[in-house]
Amino acid sequence: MGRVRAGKAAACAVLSVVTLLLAHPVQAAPNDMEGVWRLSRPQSLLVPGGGGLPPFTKEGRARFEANRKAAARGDFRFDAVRSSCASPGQPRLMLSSRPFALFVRPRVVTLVYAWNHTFRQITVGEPLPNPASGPHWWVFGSAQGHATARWDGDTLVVKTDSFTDGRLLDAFTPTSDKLTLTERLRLRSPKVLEDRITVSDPGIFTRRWDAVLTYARATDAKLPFAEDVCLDRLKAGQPAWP
Amino acid sequence: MLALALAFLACASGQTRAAAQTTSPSLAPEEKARQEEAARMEAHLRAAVPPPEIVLPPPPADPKRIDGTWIMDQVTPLHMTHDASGHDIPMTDAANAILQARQRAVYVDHDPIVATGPQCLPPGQPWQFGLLTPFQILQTPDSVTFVFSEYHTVWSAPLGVASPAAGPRQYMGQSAGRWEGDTLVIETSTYKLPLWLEPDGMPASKDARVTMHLRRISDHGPELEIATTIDDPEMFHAPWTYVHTYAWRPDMEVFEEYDCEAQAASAAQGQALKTKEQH
Repeated sequence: MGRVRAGKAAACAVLSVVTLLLAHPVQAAPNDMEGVWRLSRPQSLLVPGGGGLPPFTKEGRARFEANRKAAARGDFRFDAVRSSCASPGQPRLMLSSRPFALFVRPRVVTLVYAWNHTFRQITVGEPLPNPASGPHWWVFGSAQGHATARWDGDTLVVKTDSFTDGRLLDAFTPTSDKLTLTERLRLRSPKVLEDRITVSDPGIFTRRWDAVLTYARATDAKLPFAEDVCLDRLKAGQPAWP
Repeated sequence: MLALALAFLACASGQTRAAAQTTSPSLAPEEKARQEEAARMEAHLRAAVPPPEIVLPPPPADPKRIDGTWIMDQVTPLHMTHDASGHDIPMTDAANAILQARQRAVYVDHDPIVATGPQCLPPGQPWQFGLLTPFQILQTPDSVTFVFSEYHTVWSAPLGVASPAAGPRQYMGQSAGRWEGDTLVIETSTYKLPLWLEPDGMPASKDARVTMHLRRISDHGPELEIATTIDDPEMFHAPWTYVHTYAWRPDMEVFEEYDCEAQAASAAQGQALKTKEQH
């Protein structure tokens, strides 16, 4: 009986601590996100939270299936990344199986990818006026899109739009220039970085949908990354997007 | 071609501080044309790098922090003939032959030999730091990383390391950085390909050792000075040094994406189509 009572007391103590932690989570400082990260589970597709395929429109599904069939035939002309080493842009770069380094600075968060010496810059807060590029330099679109962010506690909330048309979200999923991404980046623990992505692209998907990517702090990789040149791999007959 | 244009821009202003005169005795008529081109590009230069619209936030107070965004604020010659002390660059016959072949290809044959950068390959530090485009420095206790807007080049060096690792040859070489007082010294060697030191084609071999001394200065506002020493017995009789300076420009810290490979593929497709139509 006494043993049961002691066990109950211990359980209650643990429960109390957990409750306390949930009510008052330990806040991570933004700089804690810095470091080298690697996707926890390699994946070629961005999978919705509940699994399965994204909520495609008829056109989106048709293009997705066409891409998948072409890839099965070994025809990757639909994919500028695989055929010419073009920028994968977002969110595909976040699916790279290679590590990336994340730097948090007051006005810019920068991700340096090991894949093809590529990087991503995210403006935090109000940008300084750039007299060289003007106030709306991003309107013509790019693969990386135009990313702006704010801190919501220890979560970096990133909104990205102004993408170019006809890219891929991942290995097969088509996107348009109406694509917008909302990402919530936070440390799930000191060694786990989470990127919760909300995808919207009205011509391709019937509704917004969410996916969650997690990254482990890399223990086997650090800067400088070994130089990776996609064009050299392509020339050598190796996959552009391994 | 954008890189070449920017390199021209970089060479076009009158504010030279380090190296020098642009002459090429064997190609005098071409030199005249080149100087006219440089003058024409000067106007573009002034438009391309306008002064800040606001009072910029200052760089970190610690002189050993070089974090931030910088862009060249001096104009370098298209073709360097003198080092930072005003002495002739001690080129070997081999270097002269390569340089003249590259110059002739541009100015006489009008069929330029394309350097690595415009091929979307990392071009080496001398070419990359000679462009009039901004770069971001990201510093940690054990590494320094340079993120360049042009060609999406990224170059990192480990800090606190005595000499470059004996790793595989790389386009940007193998690097090692260390602090000497307030100066960051980065040595790089083990290049994959011979280098172009400037847009006219001054060569360095892939066995060159490039040593850069980076330090904060404030002669003309907050600046980063980079003195680059080329040690390459195959191309130069003795090591020689040139100096560039870069302005602190946090207002240029977010770069427009340069999707070099996509542009190159698109240009190749266009050329293929044009060739097909001609036949």
